[in-house]
Amino acid sequence: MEVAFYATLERLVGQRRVELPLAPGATVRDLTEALAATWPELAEHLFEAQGELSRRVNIFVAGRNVRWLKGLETRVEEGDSVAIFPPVAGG
Amino acid sequence: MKLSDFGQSIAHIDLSTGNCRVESAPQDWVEKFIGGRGLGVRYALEAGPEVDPLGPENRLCFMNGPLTGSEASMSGRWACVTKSPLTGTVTDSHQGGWSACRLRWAGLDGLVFEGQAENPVYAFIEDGEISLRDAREVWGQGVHATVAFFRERYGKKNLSVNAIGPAGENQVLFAAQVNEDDRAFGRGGTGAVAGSKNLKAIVIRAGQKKSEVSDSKAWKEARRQALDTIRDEANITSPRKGGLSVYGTNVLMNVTNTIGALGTRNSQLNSFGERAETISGEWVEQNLLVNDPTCHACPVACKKEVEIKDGPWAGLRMESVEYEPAWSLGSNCDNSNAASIAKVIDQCNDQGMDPIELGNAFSVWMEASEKGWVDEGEELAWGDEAAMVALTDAVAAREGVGAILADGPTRAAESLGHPEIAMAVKGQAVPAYDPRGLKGMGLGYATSNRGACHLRAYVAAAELGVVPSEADPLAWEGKGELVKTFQDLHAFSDSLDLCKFSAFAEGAEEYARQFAVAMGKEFEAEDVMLAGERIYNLERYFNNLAGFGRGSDTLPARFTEEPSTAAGSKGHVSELDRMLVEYYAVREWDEGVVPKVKLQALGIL
Ligand code: SF4
Repeated sequence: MEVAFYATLERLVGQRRVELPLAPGATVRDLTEALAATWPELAEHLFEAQGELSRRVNIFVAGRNVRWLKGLETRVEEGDSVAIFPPVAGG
Repeated sequence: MKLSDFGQSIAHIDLSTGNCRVESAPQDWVEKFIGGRGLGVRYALEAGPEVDPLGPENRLCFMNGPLTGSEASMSGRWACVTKSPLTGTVTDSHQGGWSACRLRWAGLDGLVFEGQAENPVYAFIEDGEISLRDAREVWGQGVHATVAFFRERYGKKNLSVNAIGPAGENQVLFAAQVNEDDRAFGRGGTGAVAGSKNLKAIVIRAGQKKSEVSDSKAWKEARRQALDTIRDEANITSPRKGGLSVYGTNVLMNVTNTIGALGTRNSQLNSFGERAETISGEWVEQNLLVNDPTCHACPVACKKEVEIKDGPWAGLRMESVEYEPAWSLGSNCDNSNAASIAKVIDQCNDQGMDPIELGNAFSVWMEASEKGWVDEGEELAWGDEAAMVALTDAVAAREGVGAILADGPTRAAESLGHPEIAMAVKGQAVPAYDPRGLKGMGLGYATSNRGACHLRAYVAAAELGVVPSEADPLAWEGKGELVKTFQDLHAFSDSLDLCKFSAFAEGAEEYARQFAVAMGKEFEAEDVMLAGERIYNLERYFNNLAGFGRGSDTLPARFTEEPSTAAGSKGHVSELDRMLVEYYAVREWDEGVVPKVKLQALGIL
């Protein structure tokens, strides 16, 4: 499964796209845990203290912020793009 | 510089007679409308909402806010308020750089121009004195040459030049005014109003002054609290860590593309696919960035200076490839070359034009060319960068097709018999957020008092999950109240006048605290929201008197009838009618018209 990182998170990970050994149907929780295991410094961006998704990150599955889907329980299906951003805005 | 004296030194300059007097603003106006945008609108209203925007009766008001030029973070701004020749509404635009601060340091709080000079003039301001001087030598010159001319004449030290370019002189309806070479009063055509008055520039010489506040300890503390929020690593403003600070506004490009809210080919599509990458903030930062300039008292430094290294525009050094023009001249025109975007932005800075409006005029002409509605020999192909560069100068000069586009995309589309292809509200083109993928932004465009605008209600901050009041971008329910809250908060910050981006960190509490201490009076967060609401209603009242009644708050049918085809927003249209019902209810307006009882309750009548 391919995950794309943008803005300051791309800097932190050191690359735009990473490949994770996860099959379609995996949840965002599986995905974030796999990421945190590979990049421990990402963990503080991904999770609040109680293992909830942090406000310092926005994860989009097929263009939808998982906050408006099922959060960490959102499933990533075959063909879904996954993009991870820090909060970004401008004007 | 005693901050609580704000409002006591407003200069009135009659360009027809050359008379100039400095007087205090009515105390009641300063209390109710704060400064900046609010006070400017009150002065513009005084000229009458029915004036011809390009006639001598229209007022061109430059207004500082009570915090302008102080040590408060992001306080280097002023508002330019007038009746817009583009929309016929009242309009306000804000500018970074240092002109605003220098006006304050020179001892003035605002400038109200009316009349029309017989020959081109510029206003020279120093030590509270204003003189009108002959500008014939620089008439016809671009902004860059005009700035260089005045620096040569008066020296660079402590000098700011706010100027129009040929576009303003030729009354291009979306002409801008630019200070420090590249910080603009961008939208609404304030440059055309200056041009109609034969006012080439405002040149101000003043060194920095320290603020005097009766409770200096409280002032320091209020500023520290605000600065702490700006520096907080959780906020996008965090210096060198937050997305806005590192990449500038164009950090947005990839996210709006991801969620299907990046209008492409005149909003016929909702995503630019992989081509968004090469016009994004990340790409610019990795390939073109050479410097991170800032504004007065701002640790964020969101300005991004770039240098083009190769190709036809090699050697061009300019700021900034902001998100808005990167969209309007980029995906909107099917152009994925950041170098040509930088080139046209720099031309806009020099000619003095709004690149959002220009990009929309191009995309109207491109769509019309594709559909065969343009005469042979006048077509413009999607993504034709060289033609865009050439046409930019032709628009400023009002030559050939440029003369049609100089009246903006709405009139250009009307001239072709196809008004439906202008993506505009009240005659002003939409900015870079497709309302099918960010529903609250669409309601914000429709109800903005200056025509389509992202900044009056920047609810994208909530819809993109940047501020705590987050909201699902695809839900329409609840957007009425959200848009009202953001419009009122920003009406206040635009009146203080702090940079809009302060709201990514600060809120009503921080604004109230700094304002209260600066002015030496009681002022709470709820007073911020009430003053913001009053200012928003004042603008709406102006527009109602200027002929914008029921049914004026609209969106182009493309957004309400043609579903999105992009991932993230697929199948969605804007449910504008439903959102408007909610919005008018919370505003207590009658279908877009402010009732008398509301005006009385807010102290406007
Ligand atoms: S955030 Fe950007 S635009 Fe605002 S004051 Fe700072 S540098 Fe200027």
